Amino acid sequence: MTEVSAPSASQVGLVERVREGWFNGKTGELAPGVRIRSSHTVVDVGCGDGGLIGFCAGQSAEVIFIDRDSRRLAATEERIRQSPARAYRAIASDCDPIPLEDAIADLVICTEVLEHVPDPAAFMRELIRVTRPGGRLLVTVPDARSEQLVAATAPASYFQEPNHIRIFTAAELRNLVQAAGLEIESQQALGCFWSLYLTLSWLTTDPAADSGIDNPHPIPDHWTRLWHEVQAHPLGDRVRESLNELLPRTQAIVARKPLAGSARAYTASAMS
Amino acid sequence: MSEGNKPLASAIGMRDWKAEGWFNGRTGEITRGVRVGPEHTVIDVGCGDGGFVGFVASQGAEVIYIDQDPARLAATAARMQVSPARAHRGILSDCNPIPLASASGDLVICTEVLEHVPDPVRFLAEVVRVAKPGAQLLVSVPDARSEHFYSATAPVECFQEPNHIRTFSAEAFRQLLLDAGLEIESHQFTGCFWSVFWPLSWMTCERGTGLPVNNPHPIIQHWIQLWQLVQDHPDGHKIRDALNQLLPKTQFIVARKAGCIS
Repeated sequence: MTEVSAPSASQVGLVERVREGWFNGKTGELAPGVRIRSSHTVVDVGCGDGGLIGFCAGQSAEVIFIDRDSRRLAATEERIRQSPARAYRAIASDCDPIPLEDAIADLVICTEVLEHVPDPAAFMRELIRVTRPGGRLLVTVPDARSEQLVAATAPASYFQEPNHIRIFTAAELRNLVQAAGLEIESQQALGCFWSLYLTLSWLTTDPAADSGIDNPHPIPDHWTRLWHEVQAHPLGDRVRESLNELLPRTQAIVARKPLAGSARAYTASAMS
Repeated sequence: MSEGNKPLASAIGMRDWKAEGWFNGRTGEITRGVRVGPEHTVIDVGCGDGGFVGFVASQGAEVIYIDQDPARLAATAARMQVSPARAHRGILSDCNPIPLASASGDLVICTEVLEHVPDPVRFLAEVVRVAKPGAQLLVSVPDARSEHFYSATAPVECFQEPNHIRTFSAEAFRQLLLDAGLEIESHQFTGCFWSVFWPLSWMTCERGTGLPVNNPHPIIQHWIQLWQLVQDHPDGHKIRDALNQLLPKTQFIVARKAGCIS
């Protein structure tokens, strides 16, 4: 069993994400280059446990968060209720279609969702529909290399409905976003801690377990402690940045919906 | 030098190799498909510490081992004296050219050398020259991905002469051997334990004390203990095999020189 002072995987993973430039309370950036202002309306499609929309609420934005899992939605709502959010709305929906009017959001967040949906291109069109012209989208999916590693130990159900039914390489994600008529602002590979952690955790967890996060088995625990020390080391950033180029857990893309009137915006709306 | 039951990195690394089918004393295979027996003459070009020649000698073969480092050559010679090798000969040379007659070896080994040399094409041509027609060659270089990770924390000298002055992608390595007229029998990726070990060890070692293979730092100890537990786990090989595809330390090609075995 772990000592009282032992780091948990979720804590180490969060510290890693902050080092990668996310959840920056000082600058108000949710992710590098994505500043949240109180004037913004932010929609999170598939909000899960609400970590990202919670940050936006903390910046006093108006937040709308949607998930098909009503239990998670309720937990997120509880969290947002105590936040300084300018306004909030929780919606239970499978987002096919998204039950919101067009062009409502300054920012649409959609993290770790596209790998679950049967038609990612159609889903992207829905995300773009609710984004205002000139607004932005923050989209993440698991990286193909990490999925290849996790596949070594994860149960078969990991790659079946309702879980991950599709794997995107970085180029495929880029193509999906560009084909939908968006302008890519940045693409980031991140979360290498999780690539090994999840693989080690699936090796040593009950296959019926929910996610394998915060597994007390010594194998993932050694990795958590190791990475905790790497984070504390003066050269730790270099190790993380290098491993993120080779074995990232997640790839994130920030893209902009063109302003109305531009040729690309016309193409995008013609497709939807 | 192991204290108590603390595992050494080198022992952990060797256990992976054996599990992957390397150094199989029962079949006489160095790696799958490369069998060595007493009838063979084996040449190791750049033998280093002699891990490969040690196995070859244990199979009773004739061994010719070459290195430009006199200390390493002497250490290997001492091991050869007490080995069952049918015959053995150590040669001090930079292998430019290799001081051996053409078509001398039934098997030519050249591991972790091509990344050091100024002209890999010319060097490989020499390696091929000393192999008999129809002979096998076992050639390795570091994988480009682990070299990238390694460079995050290793001293710059590691990527300057006389160390690694070139990195080979899997495709470039393959093409190099094809262009030398060799037929490729297998291309395998191995050593993922080391791919993670080295960047962490360079990060945490005392500088100026050489290659940090025995590093007591807790980060390294976590990695060693973790990997030992993975090795002990009945499904641990699945992680090793997957990580070897994604982040291997070394890429090995088994190739064959055209012609009939005499």
